[in-house]
Amino acid sequence: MTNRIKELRARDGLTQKDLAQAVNVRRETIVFLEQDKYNPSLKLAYDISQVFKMGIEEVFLFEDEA
Amino acid sequence: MKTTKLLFLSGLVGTIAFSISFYRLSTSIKLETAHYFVFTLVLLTMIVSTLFYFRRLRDERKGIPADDEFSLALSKSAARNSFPYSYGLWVVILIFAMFSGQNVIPIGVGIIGMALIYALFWLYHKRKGLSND
Repeated sequence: MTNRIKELRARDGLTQKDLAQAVNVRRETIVFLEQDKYNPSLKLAYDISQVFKMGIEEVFLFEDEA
Repeated sequence: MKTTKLLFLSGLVGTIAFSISFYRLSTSIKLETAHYFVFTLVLLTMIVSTLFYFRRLRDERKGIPADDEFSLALSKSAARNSFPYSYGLWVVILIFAMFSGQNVIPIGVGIIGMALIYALFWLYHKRKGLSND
């Protein structure tokens, strides 16, 4: 799974700290998400998508690995 | 008083008390190198713990959550991965104690070993990230 957090964050002019505060997590969590080193819970994915006013499937890209 | 503040103060008081005790002990009896090594290790652990608590306290003041889903997942992953190695360590220690003819099982070595194994896995995941694909 990959995501467009970095791209969308730049689009909306948000810093990692801003996004972290908006979804109530630590900044390092956003860092790890952007580096694809961590897959968020459904709740966090939903909250992040809400910040960008988009659907989860538009922010988080699920690739078929089968 | 919040829990984080209480933990921080406990760590600070513990470190100071430990340092004073060690100073008084070192001036009253002759200590060996191994004692200094253990005391240094304990002191370092206490200092690192105090620093961690200080960071949590600072974050709490800023409204940053001390733990979130990633930090909890990191702790869980480190614990899960370190368990079999810690288990193996205890088996090795017990076998070593049995065959070396010692009547005393070095519990301290086991506890420090477990802590080191956990810390290594924590650092590994902190660097490599967590994959739950």
